[in-house]
Amino acid sequence: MIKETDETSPGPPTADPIIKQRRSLSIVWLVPIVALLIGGWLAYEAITERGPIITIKFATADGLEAGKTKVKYKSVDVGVVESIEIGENLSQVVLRVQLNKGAATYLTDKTKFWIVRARISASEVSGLSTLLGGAYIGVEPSVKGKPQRDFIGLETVPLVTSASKGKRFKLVAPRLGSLNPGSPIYFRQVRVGQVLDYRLEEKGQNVGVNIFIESPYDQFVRENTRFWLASGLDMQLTANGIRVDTDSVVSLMIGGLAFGTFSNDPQGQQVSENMQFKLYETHDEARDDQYTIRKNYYVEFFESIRGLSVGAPVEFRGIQIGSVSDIQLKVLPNQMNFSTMVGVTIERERLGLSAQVSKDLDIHIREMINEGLRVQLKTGNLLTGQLLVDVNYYPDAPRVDETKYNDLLVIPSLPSSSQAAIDGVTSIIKKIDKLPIEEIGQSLQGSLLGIEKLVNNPDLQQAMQSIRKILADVETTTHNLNADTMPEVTDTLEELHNLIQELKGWISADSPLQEDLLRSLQEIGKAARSINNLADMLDRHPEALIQGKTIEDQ
Amino acid sequence: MTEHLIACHACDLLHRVGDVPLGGSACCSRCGTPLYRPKRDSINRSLAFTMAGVIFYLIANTHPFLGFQIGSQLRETTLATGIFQLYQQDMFIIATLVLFTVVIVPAIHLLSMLYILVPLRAKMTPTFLAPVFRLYLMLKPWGMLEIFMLGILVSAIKLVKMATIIPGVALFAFMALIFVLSAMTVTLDEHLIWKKTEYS
Repeated sequence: MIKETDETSPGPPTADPIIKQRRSLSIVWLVPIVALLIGGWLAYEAITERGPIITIKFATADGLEAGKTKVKYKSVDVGVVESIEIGENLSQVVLRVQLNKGAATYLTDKTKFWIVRARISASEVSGLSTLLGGAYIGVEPSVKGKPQRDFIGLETVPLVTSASKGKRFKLVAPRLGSLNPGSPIYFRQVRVGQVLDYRLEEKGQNVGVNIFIESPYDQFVRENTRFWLASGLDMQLTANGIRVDTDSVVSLMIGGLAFGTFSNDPQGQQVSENMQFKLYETHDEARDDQYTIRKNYYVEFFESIRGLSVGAPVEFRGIQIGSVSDIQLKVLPNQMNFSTMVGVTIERERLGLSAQVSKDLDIHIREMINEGLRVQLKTGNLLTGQLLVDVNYYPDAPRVDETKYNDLLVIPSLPSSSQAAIDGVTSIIKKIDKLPIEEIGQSLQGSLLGIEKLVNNPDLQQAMQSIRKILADVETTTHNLNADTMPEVTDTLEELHNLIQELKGWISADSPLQEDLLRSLQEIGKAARSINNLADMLDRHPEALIQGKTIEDQ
Repeated sequence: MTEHLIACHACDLLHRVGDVPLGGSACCSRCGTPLYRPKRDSINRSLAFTMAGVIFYLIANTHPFLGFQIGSQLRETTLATGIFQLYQQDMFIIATLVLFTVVIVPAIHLLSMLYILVPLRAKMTPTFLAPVFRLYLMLKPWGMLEIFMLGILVSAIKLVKMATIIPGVALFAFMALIFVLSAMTVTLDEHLIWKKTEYS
């Protein structure tokens, strides 16, 4: 307790101090300031993170939920559906979508929105994650174009987004085949793209198919590239046998396209996007269509052309140069008979002729005919009996005059090899026919009779009997020889053998005879030496013969 | 300088309490029960905490509280949606209880404090100081933010195995609010408030 000072008490004069209240803020105010900062930052973030609000119209909001359904681009959330309302005319739903910050830049009239739901088709299964997480809205942003805030959503998921690199092309086909959006497109059986969509041309004459070729395969699409249907199974029974074509099992099931470049010059010009191509029905059709310069000729046959059909190949030494385009019967006016006129189309580019030569092909064909150019029917396939038209040179063929049919040059024909064979057999049979078989038979019969006579002659039988007797004599002689002479011969041989044995004993090295002989020889040697000495001595001292030996000489 | 009478809470002995130095406390002379402790800079501090509390309260009620993610499905809740969910699931009483104890009572606390403290700091006395302060004291036991927080923590821990729990901004704001409200209560000098009423 502070004692109050007595005002009356004496003391030094005092003055009242000025008491200043602490004006400065105490530390505790930091707490609300920090709170304010946090709150302010959150508010700022909430405001700045908010992007634009847009509306999207869809036919149905199946699977969408206000406040939950997200807008995703490349699986990243870029916004959320705020509300779903029914549109004005009750035919569609209107979604209000709150997008994230920065979305404004890509909201243009080219930006596309669609609903991603689980989708299972023959070619792919997609959007499986939506089974658990619910459908979401996909977006394909586009910065090019006019800014826009109200969109109409796509009802189908676009197969190709702007992110996928590649080129779009348009194909025009007389019929769709079994194509579908998503059908694969193959290049050398590698999947390089897919069918985007298709629609009938305005007049209903053609089907326009939009396709997408992925980068880098789009560079293989050239000016001279051809597209054809690789749908399903292509089975053909031709002169070349049975042919089954399919590009892949997938395309077997859901159809597909293939493309390729046939010309020898693969470096056709690169093409720009949205270029239009013709879609061919089959690979062969696409390939054959490159031979645009065609020449028609006729060939006259006088035989059955069963097995030859329009489209059958025309081959020159086995290489196809054209096809049969037409088959007609022609009345031969003065014979009351028919011949068959077969029209053939020669794709002269296949002949590899220079432009100058192929320009005047008729003239050259005439020359060739003079050189022996002939046409023949040949069996293309033994199993099916399909025929083909074979062109070749036959220098031995007889000359023919030039003829025309329907104003077209007629190439002369030769009978087919089977026809020629039949003709050959026929002529052989005719020759056989002409042989004097009866006379030959008669003379043959005469000879046989003579032989019979000879055989049945009794002299022959007697001769046979005497031969038999002679043989019996020979047999007895041999027998005697065996019984009498042989034992004696054996004895003699045995004695000879003993003799040889003895002789052997004598001459063997250790035999006494040998030793005696050796000793005798040595003795003879000694005697010879003595005689030699004697002879020498006598030679030197012939007087010794008279005087006897002198001691001196010793 | 000023003296006023305080009856002991325990033994009801009436004391005449004058100024108590800061840091000290006045105790009952008979039973020793503390009668009064002066608090330093009470109005300023309480007001500061109240204002921080208002901000945290707003954040806690506007931002997502908890997110549950199961697979790719994310569900975010705020306090309001949580209560609404309870109501939708026919748990009307619990929904009301939560609404009352977690949303309404703290709001009243903060507002009444603002009503009292802002004028007092400006050396003025609010008109309805006494009834408002009484309302505040009456509702004080009903503020159950801590209990709600505990409940949330327990259920979140149980759910962790089933789903990914993403704590939201509001959760942290809520924690801060709990601390700030406690601090506000601690720094508030009730006697001082009552004292102010006497001058009106």
